This record gives sequence, structure tokens and C-alpha cells, in this order.
Amino acid sequence: MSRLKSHRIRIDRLVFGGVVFCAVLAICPLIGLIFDLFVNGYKQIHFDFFIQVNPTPEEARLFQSAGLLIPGGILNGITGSFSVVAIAVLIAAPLGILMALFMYDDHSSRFSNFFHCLIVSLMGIPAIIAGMIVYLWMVEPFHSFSALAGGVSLAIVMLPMIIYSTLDALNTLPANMKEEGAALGGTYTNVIFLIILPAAKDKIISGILVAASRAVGITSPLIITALGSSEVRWNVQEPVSTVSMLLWNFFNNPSMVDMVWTTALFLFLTVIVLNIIAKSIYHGQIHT
Amino acid sequence: MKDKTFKILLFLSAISILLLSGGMLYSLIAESLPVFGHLGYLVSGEWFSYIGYTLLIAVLALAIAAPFSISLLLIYAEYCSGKMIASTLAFVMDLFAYIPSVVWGVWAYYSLRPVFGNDILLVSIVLAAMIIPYSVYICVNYIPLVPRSIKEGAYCLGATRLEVLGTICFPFMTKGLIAAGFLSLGKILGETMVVTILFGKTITSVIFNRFGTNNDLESGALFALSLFLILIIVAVNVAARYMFKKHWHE
Repeated sequence: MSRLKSHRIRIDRLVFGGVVFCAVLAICPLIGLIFDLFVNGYKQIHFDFFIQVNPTPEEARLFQSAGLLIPGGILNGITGSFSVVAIAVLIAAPLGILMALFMYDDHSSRFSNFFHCLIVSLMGIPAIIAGMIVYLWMVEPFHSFSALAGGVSLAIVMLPMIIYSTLDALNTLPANMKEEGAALGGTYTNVIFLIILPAAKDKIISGILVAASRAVGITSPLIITALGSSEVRWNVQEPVSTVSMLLWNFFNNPSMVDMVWTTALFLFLTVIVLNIIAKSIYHGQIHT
Repeated sequence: MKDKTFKILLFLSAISILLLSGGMLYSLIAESLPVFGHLGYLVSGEWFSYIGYTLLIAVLALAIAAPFSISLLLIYAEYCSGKMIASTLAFVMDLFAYIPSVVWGVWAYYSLRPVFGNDILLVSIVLAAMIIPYSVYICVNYIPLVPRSIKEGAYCLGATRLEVLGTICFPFMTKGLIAAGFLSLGKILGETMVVTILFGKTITSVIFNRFGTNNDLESGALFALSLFLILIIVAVNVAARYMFKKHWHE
């Protein structure tokens, strides 16, 4: 009997060891990624990196062969990312919140299931295909790549995410909040705007931030819709570069390896910081 | 604002989502029509190899990621449940779920490619490493925890942790795990930058590399490929939704 027991315990320990081993192994790439980004990326971090536009390949080659730091930075990428993501948020957030309110209101109807499936399907659409479609709809007819087209393609990617996070936020509210509001004499619009939305505000904003952080890193649809530009532009009808597109451009230039690392580090930190802010808002540590 | 106006506004938003989805589907079909008139071109070309590579890489990546994701989930939900290490793990996985794929791609290109060489296995490993945080994040947030009382009952009967896992936790979580696997598969299938940087022969990367061509047949083939990809991803996601249905937004 005791031999049997010790056998069972031994197997249990063995499996536990295996699980811990696998878990540690799964963390390794994450640690490796962070380590490599910092070790290779810190060199190019200086003030100019944030206030100058991207260098040309010739400049980069010249400075690198002289053993100097590559001049220039990613200012055009930062402004471009900002404008493209802002456009995407301006389009996707209002529409997403309205749609979530519609689905929240429409709990039991037979369309509810259909809409859930539709949103799940939209969520699965690869970013590159959203880019192809926006190319058809906005770039080809107007014969120009633009920040606006890039923003719309990001909005298509963000929209289902925002709908779901908003719906999640609404569903965590106490179930009979709506009825209580109505019992106090509020009209439907009053209840939504004065009770439901303020109560869910933090979580909705957090969801939008998470979606924006995802949008910041998206590259492929922007290359076929916003094209890229090496100057700072605020006109939404002209092509722009984003940080992620600059990363791709640098990657395609063998002489810009250092810039690749630093830009990747910047992108990584941006996404992490946005996510941490979103989490703090979600848990009520930052008040909006 | 009047109630009626607001309700109409809500209804319009639903209509616009419908129009958006319908419009996207219509555009994809309309653009890929020219190539369906020349089936020979579609069959003879290299297009089918792209489909094969896409599916192969996605399944391989999922197979590599699965044991690691499940291990992390077990650490979170069973072995260290409620301890600080579990909440830290969930926090880190949440943060890493949204690392841009282009960052993973360039990192793998410079750091892993010299070691592993340039082939399908490397792409799958990198995609697996990328999908692990996402799948753990989905599992942690959407798979319901096994009721504590049931587990405690089993422990009282003298079961080891492994026996509790095998007889109670896994049967309880199977559906959720499969659904999480489906969602991860959908995300891997749509991944572009990592595959483009490291391999370049899947549907998404061939679209990325050759989009904008003037050749009608070629662009038609690209749209047909994307239509095919979307159909797979939609099927996978809707299947996941039905498996999660009991616990998901209901």
C-alpha cells in the first residue's frame, strides 16, 4: 500500500516538475526579447531620436562607416502614428460604443446571436486584408495614399475590439441598473447617458486604450494604405509614416540595424506603457 | 436628446456594421471574380503551395504553443492559484499579448535566425512564442475556474494534484481550451509581419509582398486567397464562440 502511494506521489511530482519546466521555457522568449531590445537598442537613444526625421540610407551608411551614431530619429513616425491612431480612434470609438449599447440593449432578441457572431468574425479579419479593402475603397478611387486611409484600416481592426471591451464593461455593471434608473423616472436616453455610461466609463476608456495600443503596432495594412513619408505631415490627405512603418523601412536597409533595434525598443515600450495605463484605469487606480 | 432619435442612432450603428461587413465581403468577391474565370491559372500556379504553407505553419505553431500555454495556465489556475506568482503571471501575459508582431519579427530575424536557420520550424517557434501570452490571456479571462469545493472534495478523498487535474480540472476546461486554441489559430493565420520577415511564402505575406500588381489575374488570385483565408478564420472564430457561448457575454 505504501509503495503504491509513493508511486502516485512520485508521478505527481514528476508532472509538476514538467509543468514548471515548460512554464519557465515559455517565459524565456519574452525575457530574451526584452534583453535583446535593451542591449542592442540603447545605443541610439538620444535627444535627436525624438525630434528629427528619419535619416536617408546614404547618411546612415556614411556615419556608420565613420564609426559614429546614425543621425536622425523617428519624429515623422511619432507624429504619423499619432495622427493615424487618432483618426482610427475617432472613427472606431463612437461607432463601437454605440454598437455595444445596441447589443447591450438587445439582449434577448434573435438578432443578438447573429450580431455576436458577426463581431467575432470581424475580430478575426487579418489586418492586411483590412488594408486591401481600404485600398480598394479609398486609395484607388482617389489615386492617393493617405493618413486617412491608414486610419480607416486601423479603425476596421479596432472596431470589434472596442465593441467587445465596451460590452464587457457594460455586462460587469449590476444587472438591474437600467431598471432602477427607469424606476427613478429617467427616460431611456437619460438612463444611458447619466447612469450606465458614467458607471462603465473607466472600463470603456481602458478598452479603447488597449485597442489603440494594438493599433500602434500594426504595420502591414498601413504600408499599402498610408505608404510612408520622410517628413512630418499633419495633412490627413497625404501619405505619412508611422513608427512601425519606419521600423519596417529601417529593417530593409542593411546599414540601419542600430536604428531597427532602437525603434523596436521604442515601439515595445509604447505598447507596454499604453497597456499599463489601460490596466490602471481599468482597476480604478487612475481616475478619468 | 429624444429617446426615439437615440434609438434610431443605435439602430444606424448596427446597420453600418452590417454594411461594413457586407461591403467587405462584396469587395473581396468582386475583385476575385476575374480569376475564377481562369481556373487553370489558379490551379497551375504556385498559389496552392501558399495555402499549404499557411495551414502547416499555423498548425505547427499551435502544436508547439499548446503544452507551454497549458503549463502556464495550470500554474496560474491550479498549482499557484491565488498566490502572488499567479497574479504576476496573469499581469505579464496581459502585457505581452499585444507586443507588435513586427517587433517579434525583427527580434527573431537578428537573434534566432543565425542559430536556427531560415525555415518553417523557426517561423512556427516564433509564432508559438508570440501566441503563448495571447492564448494564456484568453484562457485566464474566459475559462471559468473549477469550483473550489469540488477540488477540495477530491483532495479529501486522498487524490494527488495530478489526479485532481486529470479527473476534474481537464474535463471541466476542455471546451474552453479548444475554444482558446481556435481563437489562437485564427490569430496565427492572420499574422503577417513575422512570416514575411522570416519565411514569406504564406497567404498573408504573399499578399503583402505582391499587392498592388497591375496584372488583373494576379491581383484576382491574391483576393481569392484572402477570401479563402477569411473564410477559414471566420469559421474558426465562430466555432470558438459557440464553445465559449455558455460563459461568454451571456
